[in-house]
Amino acid sequence: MEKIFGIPATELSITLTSLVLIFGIIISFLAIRKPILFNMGTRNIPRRKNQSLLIIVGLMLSTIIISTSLGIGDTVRHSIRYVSIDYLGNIDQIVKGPGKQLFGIEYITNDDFLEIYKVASKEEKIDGIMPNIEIRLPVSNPEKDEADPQMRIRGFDYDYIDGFNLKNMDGENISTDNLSSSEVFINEEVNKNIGAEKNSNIAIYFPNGRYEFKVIDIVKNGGLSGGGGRSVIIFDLNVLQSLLMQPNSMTSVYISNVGGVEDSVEYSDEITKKLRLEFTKYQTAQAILDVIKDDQIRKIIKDESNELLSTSKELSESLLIISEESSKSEPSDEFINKISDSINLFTIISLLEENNKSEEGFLLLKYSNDLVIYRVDDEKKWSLDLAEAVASGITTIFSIFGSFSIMVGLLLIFLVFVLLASARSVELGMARAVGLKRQHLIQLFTYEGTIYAFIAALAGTVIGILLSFGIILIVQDLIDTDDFTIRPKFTFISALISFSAGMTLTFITVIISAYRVSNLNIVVAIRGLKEEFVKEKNITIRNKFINFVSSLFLPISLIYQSVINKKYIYRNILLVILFTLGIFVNIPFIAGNLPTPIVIFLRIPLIVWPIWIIFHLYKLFDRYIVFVIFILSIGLIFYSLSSMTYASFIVGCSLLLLCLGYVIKFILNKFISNSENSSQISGTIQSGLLLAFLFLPFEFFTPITGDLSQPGPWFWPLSGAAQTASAVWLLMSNSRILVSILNFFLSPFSGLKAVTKTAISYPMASKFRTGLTISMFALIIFTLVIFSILNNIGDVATEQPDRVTGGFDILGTIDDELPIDNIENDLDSNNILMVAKSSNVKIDAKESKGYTNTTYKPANMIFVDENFMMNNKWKFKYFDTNYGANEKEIWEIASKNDNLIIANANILEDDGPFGPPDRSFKTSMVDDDITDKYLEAFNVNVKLRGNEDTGQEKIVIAIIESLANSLDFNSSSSFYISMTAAESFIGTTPPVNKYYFKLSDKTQASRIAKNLQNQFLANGMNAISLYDQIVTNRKNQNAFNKLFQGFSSLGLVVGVAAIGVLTVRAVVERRQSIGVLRAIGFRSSMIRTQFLIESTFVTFLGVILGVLLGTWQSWNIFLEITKEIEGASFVFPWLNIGIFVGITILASIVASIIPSNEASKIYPAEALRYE
Amino acid sequence: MSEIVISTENLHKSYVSKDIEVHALKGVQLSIQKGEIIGVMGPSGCGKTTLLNCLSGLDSIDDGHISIQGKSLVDLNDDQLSEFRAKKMGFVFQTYNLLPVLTAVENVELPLLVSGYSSKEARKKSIETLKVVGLEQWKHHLPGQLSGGQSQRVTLARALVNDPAIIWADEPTGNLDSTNEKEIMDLLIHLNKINNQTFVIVTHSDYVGSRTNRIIKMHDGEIVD
Repeated sequence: MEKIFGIPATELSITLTSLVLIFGIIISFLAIRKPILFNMGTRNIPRRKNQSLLIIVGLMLSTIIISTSLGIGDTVRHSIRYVSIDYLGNIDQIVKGPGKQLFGIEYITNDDFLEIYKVASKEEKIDGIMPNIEIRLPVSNPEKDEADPQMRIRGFDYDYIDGFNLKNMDGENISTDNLSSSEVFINEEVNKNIGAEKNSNIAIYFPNGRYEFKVIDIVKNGGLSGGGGRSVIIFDLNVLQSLLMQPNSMTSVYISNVGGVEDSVEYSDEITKKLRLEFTKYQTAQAILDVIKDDQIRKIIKDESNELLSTSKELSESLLIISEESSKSEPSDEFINKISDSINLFTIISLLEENNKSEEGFLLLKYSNDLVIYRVDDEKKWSLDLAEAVASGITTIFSIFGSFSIMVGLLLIFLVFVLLASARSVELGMARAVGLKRQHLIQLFTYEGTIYAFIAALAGTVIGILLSFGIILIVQDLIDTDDFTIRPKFTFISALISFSAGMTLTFITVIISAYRVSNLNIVVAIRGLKEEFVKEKNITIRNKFINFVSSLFLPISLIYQSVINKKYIYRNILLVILFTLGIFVNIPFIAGNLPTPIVIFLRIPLIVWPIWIIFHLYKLFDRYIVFVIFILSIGLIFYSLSSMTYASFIVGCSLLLLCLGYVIKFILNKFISNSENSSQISGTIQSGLLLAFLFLPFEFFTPITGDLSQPGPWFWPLSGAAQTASAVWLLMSNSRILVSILNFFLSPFSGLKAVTKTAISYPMASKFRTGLTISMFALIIFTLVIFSILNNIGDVATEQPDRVTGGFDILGTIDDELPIDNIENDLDSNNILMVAKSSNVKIDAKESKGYTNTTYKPANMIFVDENFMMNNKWKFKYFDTNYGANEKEIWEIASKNDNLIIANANILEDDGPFGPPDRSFKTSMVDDDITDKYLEAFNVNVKLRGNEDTGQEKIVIAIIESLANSLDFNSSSSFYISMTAAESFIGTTPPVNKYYFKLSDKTQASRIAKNLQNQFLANGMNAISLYDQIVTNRKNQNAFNKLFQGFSSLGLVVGVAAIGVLTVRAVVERRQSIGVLRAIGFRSSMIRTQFLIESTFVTFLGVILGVLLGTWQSWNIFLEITKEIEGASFVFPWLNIGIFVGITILASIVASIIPSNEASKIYPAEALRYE
Repeated sequence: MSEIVISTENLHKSYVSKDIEVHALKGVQLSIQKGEIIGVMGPSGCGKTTLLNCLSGLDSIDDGHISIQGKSLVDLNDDQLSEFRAKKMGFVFQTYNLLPVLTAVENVELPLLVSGYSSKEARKKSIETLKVVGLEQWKHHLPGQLSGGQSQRVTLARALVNDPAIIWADEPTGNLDSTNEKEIMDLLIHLNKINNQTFVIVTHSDYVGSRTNRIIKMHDGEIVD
């Protein structure tokens, strides 16, 4: 993995490992200085083996989740990289024609090749230049009756084999020069795909007819021979040119860089840049520079670069370079390199339009058509970058879902140490009584915690690795594809990050717990009465103010302490040095010249400083801190409204509600003498308000605030945690009511009541630890319930397939080069009721004058015949009722009027939080808030891609709902128009490339699709049953949902472990109570039942809360989804959730059985004697 | 002749701690009559609490025989012992040992609920018993909100609520000041007179000893006087 959460993995691993090492050195130093403390702290580990084991299990769960996420990312990355490397081999870059051809394959001539060769051969880092043809044609193996309608066919000139190779399966070099006109090589995949072997005869369907060829040898995958699941048939170039009737022509030139298959990619940037420079027209680049060098435009580009930094770093960097290089009077190499990449140029064109610079945008569009002589694609680098991006994305998704479990894991660590502290309170109190300082207690606890953390991080990393492999194997088994093999992988860097991150998180939690422990009241601890903490010393306002001001100028106050007061001289000098370095490292020049881990490390004091200031601010204001929070919340709300950010609005409003609750509590305290009652009421109001606010529908405030920008993916786990926390707060504030209700219902059963009364009262009395445990279960069940419910909502495609398929049963796609004449004549009318046709042409589109989006952007024009228009059953999201009352009438009028077009849902703005913004055509005419279906028809100007004419005006009268795109993952903004409009639009009839078949018997779709594929093999028809495709997609989607559910449910293991820890602890803590209960007549089975009920009760509360919150949140999401997918139904998946709830409760019972049994076996006298 | 409610024969009990065997009771023989208030006294570690635990069935014995109201404790299994304790015995401990999460009345009603009383009856009887020990107005307080003397009264109420034949008290005034000690003893003697229940009190206090009917002195696991 190269990046995790956008941070380079190597630097992250070095930083985290450095942190762990620093912690280790500090701990070791302190331990050597006072070994007695180390011995006291660690002696409990071997003494209480079972307890130590339990603690380690609890601590390692966070690490397991981190390790599993990274392992899955590594595997995905490795698997995709493997496919790319297997396919591309030595091919690093591909040089092609300028891409101006409207239909069919673009060829370059031999002269073009010689020009490319002349340039490329001068470059030392290029070791291979291969002219070639690559096309796709139907191929069959008559002996095995197997066929592939669109197989890759390649032709090479063996004279240029240097830098490449062709080896057979025995590893011998083989040459295309030796192939006759009826002989071919095949790669390993052809063998797998259609069963062809050495000496087999295969048939290839060229545009001018079917030819048979003998397979001379099978070529190893990689490079010229393809691979990575893709079948390739290899010809001699001259033979292929003759067969295709394209003498002296080729489709591209492969370039190989020096070095091995993987490390050659490091020269790719440099070589691509040089070749692009050579193959870009300097004059046109100069013209583009003249447009961009305007200060205002440069600023627009730079601002966009900043905007894209988090979502699309590569594009952001390119824009920054263009902006900076545009200040020069002549185009620099960097400038030409970046501007010749069409993505960059089109982004700038879009930006100009958004900033009312349409004229300049139009000029750039005009120049862009004449900028490039040959396109240079950095194929391998792009593939490997894609592998990286997909792997990072998957790691991020897993980390986000995993973060719920990580949070729960950290809660467990905290809980473990809270319990450990309470178990040791007498021992620690005694230690304090005989002279140990607070810092010594922190050390004692930290030593013990560090050893647990180290073992847990190590074990967690290993288990995580194994778990990631397990999950990957399950996915491979679940997904329905033979094209992609998952190859398990776990890198050393990921292992290092998992270990260090797990160790660091655990260590920080240990320090916080240790600090909490060190606050214990000595007398209370020794007497073992109750968990209680030292009351704050009374500090005067004046001193609090001085402390606050000192915290503002911390380094100066440290110097003052050392010089004037002669206190903590060495410590303060060290801190002053660290703070000074922290300030210096923020100077960009210094930061840029230091390794990132050092920069991160040196910045740590600057993170601590503000926390120190906030701490003293809190001390200064004490309970009046509410006023500070109030001002902060108001500030945040104003900021959110001015910057239109959703996250700060939510945080600001939440803080405001907390302030309101605090004021209510203040008032209640004046009128209610019983502090418990006033706490209950104010807690209920605060948590209730917060809960209600956090669960409001997503766009509840939109009418007031306008469209706020969505936060990044990081926001959702935090939001979920806040929602759960407020619900648990509400529940625990009302624990007394809950206990009363339960007691009321249990009152008829006296024997049971005796047991349940104690079982319920104990957890409800320990609000903090019970609240923590409930939160653990609630958080995880919350996510699982959302998963389950959303999974069912997405089932509309299966329930109403016509909305996806348009009512057609089979889709047949063919190659432009192999058209079918009069398909109707060849169809079996008994099975096929009707066939509709479409043809796709790339266009540029913009809104007409007077509208907002008036610069051309990429789109598709899809010409469809009357059958398509009159029979399809897609639903519209919006339509203009002036043109028809329903879908049927709208299609009908569009079929008769060549100026009317119907758009797909991609033309609507989509500001989702993932990925860079979509740069294809978008309309400004539809407001997302429209809830009815009414649309006012609007004009768009459309023209063929690359043409410089003024385009044609068309009227958009309807927009199809997004569900119709479900099977088309690469769909972009498209317009459907009558086939009759093609002649006037492009001057010719475009070749049909899609056929939609409607059958008399839908159930026969799979069989008939296969027949059609065979029947039209010569045309390269790829036919699929659309319903089968929906089912397959659904199956794959279900597989991934199950995977995510499985992964998320790791958190339940944490919860169950917490229940186990709590029960063990409860048995130890309540030993005397057990004795008393036995003395007053409780049978041993009643004691066991009591503990089992207790753990089940806590689990049950967490689970129920999670189910309620998850359902509530799903409802909010459902409301959003129904805006997109009409007719989606909210179904509560009883079975799925029931299974989760059942397993969770059962697991909790199992986890608490052993300690409960132990409790029941304690002899009463022994229990009473125990202290 | 009065009825004998507690009798033992040749009672032996030993503990093994770190390979060292401690003989806590060495052939103890005693008999206690109904309505007696017995004080068990002796130096620390002489076996007083062990004797009380064995007599009440809280601890097992190695050898010998214990008879409570004519029933041999040795013949009862764990569940039968629990039931026997619930119906026939009450306990008072030095550290009160109230369940901290239950209110005073809930603590008191617990033995009744175990014995099968309905919730309503149990609550009614518990409040009446709290009235007897003078704590009716404190019934809804948690143990943490009560003083030491009050807590011990609640413990006493819990021990009495089931009308047991025998009440075992292990250092019932050990954590109390002299005023509270006197009040608790007055209450015990008053209840003994009303209900004719048998009290076995393990104590170090001479004052408590002076208020009992009979003192059993122990030394090194044996009754010496």
